[in-house]
Amino acid sequence: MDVDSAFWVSQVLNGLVTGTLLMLITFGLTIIFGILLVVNFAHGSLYALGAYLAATITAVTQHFWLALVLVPIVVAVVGVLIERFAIRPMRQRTVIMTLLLTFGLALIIDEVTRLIWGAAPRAVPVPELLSGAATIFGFTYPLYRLFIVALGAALALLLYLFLEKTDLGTVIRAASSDAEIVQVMGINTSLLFTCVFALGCGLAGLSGVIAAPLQTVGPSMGTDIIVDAFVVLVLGGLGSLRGTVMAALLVGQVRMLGAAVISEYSSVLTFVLMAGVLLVRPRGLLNLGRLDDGH
Amino acid sequence: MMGIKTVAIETMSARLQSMVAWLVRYRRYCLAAAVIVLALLPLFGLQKYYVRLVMEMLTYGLWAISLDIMIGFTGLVSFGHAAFFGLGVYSTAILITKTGVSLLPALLGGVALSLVAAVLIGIVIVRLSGIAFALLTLASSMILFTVFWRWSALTGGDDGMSVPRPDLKLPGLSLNMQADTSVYWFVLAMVLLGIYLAQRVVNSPAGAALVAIRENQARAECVGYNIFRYKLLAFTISGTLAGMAGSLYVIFQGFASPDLLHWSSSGQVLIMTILGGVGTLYGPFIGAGLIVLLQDKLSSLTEHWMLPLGLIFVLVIRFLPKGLLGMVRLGSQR
Repeated sequence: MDVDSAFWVSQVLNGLVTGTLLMLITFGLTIIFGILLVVNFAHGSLYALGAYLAATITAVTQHFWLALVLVPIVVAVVGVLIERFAIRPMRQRTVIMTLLLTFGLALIIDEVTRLIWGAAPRAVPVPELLSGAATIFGFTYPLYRLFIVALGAALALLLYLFLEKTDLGTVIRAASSDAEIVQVMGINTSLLFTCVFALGCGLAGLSGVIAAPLQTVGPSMGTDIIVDAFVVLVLGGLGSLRGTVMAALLVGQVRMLGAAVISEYSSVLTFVLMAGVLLVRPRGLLNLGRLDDGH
Repeated sequence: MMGIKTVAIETMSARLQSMVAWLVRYRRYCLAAAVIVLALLPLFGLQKYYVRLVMEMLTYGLWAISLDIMIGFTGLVSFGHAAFFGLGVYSTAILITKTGVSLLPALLGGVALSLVAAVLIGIVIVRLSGIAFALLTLASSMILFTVFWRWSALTGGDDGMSVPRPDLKLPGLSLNMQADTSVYWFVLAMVLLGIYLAQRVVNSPAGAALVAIRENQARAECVGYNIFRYKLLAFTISGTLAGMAGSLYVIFQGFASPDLLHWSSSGQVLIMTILGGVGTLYGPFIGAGLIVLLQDKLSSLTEHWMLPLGLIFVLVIRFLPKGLLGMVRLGSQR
C-alpha cells in the first residue's frame, strides 16, 4: 500500500476508534437521559474517575483485565450514591435545575479525583496480550485499537439485546415512554431509576478504563470529553441508543478526517453540527430522540 | 434536642428577617452607602492586590447580573454566557493591541461587538428553551472558544495576549490610567452604569413582560406579547452587558486568555448567579463577590478550593434554589 492511501486508511480507522470510544461514553448519557430525563454533566468526571482507578489497579496488580471488570462496578456504586442522594430529591424540579446540580457534582468529583491522585498524569500500559500490531492486507494497525472497536461493537449488541429481548429491558423501555404508567402497573420505578443511573455510570467507568491506555490519564480528562459526548448525545437524538451509535461513528470520522483536512478547526465542525441539529432536528439526525418540546 | 434546635433556628431566622426588613426599608441609603464605600476604597491605602480583587468582583458582578437578566427574568438558562464576556475581552484586547485606541473607544468597541454578536446569535437560538437552549448556548460558545483558541495569529492562542492599558482620552483631556487606583474609578463608574442600565430594563414595562413570559409563556402569548421579540431583547441586553463586563475585565487585568471563553467559565458565572439568587438582580452581584473572595481566600489555603465551591453550589441548588438573596427576600415578605 502506498504511503498516501495508508495515511487515509489509518485516519479512517482512528476515526472508528475515536467514534467507538465516544459511543461507549455516550451510551451512559443516553440511557440516563432516555429513562430519567437527566442530562448528566458529571458523566465525564466519572469517566475520568474510571481511568484513574484503572491506573491504580494496573499499577498495583499488573492486571488490566481485573481493572476492566472491577472499575465499572465501583463507578456504578458511586452512581447509586449519586442517584439516591442527589438526583432523586430533584425529581419534582425542572430538568434544567437537575442539569445544574450535576454540573456541581462534576466539580466535586473532579476535585476529589485530584485530591486522591494529584495533578501528575498517569500512564496505563496496553495489556500485554494486545500490545502487538495486526497486519491486514499489508496494512499494520495496533491490536489494542482493533480490540476497542470489537469490544464496542459487542457491548452495543449486548445492550441492544438487553433492552429488546429481556423482561427488564422491556420494563426500562416502557418506563422511558411513561414512567407513571409503569409504576401503576406495580413496578418499583425508583429502584429502576437507580439501576439505570448506575448502569449509565458503570458505562462511563468502563469507557474510562478502555480509553486509559490510549492517552495519558490527567485531571482534565473529564472536562475534555464531556462536551464531545454532549455533541454525540444531541446528534443521536437525546435518548436514542441507535442514534447514538450512528452519531458517535459520524463524529469520530469528522474529528479524524477533519483533523487531516482542516487540522485545528475540526472540533468547530462538530459543534456546528450540534447547533444545527438542535435548531433544525431537535430529535437528532435520525429523528429518534426524546427531545421534542424543548424541555 | 430537636425542639431546642428548632427554636434556635427560628429565633435566628426571625432576627435575620427583621434585619432584612430594615435593609429593605432603607435600601436606598444602604445602596448609596455601598457606592460611597466602594468609591472611597482606594483612598484607604488598600494594597494593589486588593484593588485588583475588588475590580474582579465588580466586573464578575456585572457579568453575573447580565446572566440574571436571561435566567431570572426570562427563564432561559445559558451554559455559554462566557461567549459574550470573552467577545468583550478579545475585541477590546485586539482593538488596543492592533490599533492603539484610547480607553473609551476600546470599551465601546467591545460593547458594540458583543451587542452585534448577541443579536445575531439570539435571532437563531432564542426560539428554543430548556435543555435545548442550554445545550445550544454551550455549542455556540464552544465554537467561539475554539476559534479564539486556535486563531493564534490574532489572539496569541493558548499563550493568551498581553494588553497594555491605554489612557483615557476625551476632547481636551487626557488621563493616565497606569495606576490601578485610577483605573479602579473608571471600572467602578462603568460597572455602576451597567447595573443602572440593567435595573432600568428590569423595572421597565418590557421587564414586566419578560417576567410574564418566564412565569407562563402561553399566557403571555395569548395576552398578545411577541415572545420572540422580548426574548431576543433580553438575550441582547444580557449579552451586551456581559461583553461590557469582559471589556472592563481585560482593561484592568491587562491579559486575555482563551480559558475565559471555555464552558467551565460559563459554569463559574452560573454558580455566582444561582448562589446569589436568580431573579433578584443584586443577588448575583453579591454572589460574584462572595465567590471571588472565597476563591481568593481558599486558594491561598488549599489548591483544592473547587471542592468546597462545588459542595456549596450543590447544596444551594438542592436546598436554596432561590439563592441567598432570594431566600432573604422570601423571609422578609412573610
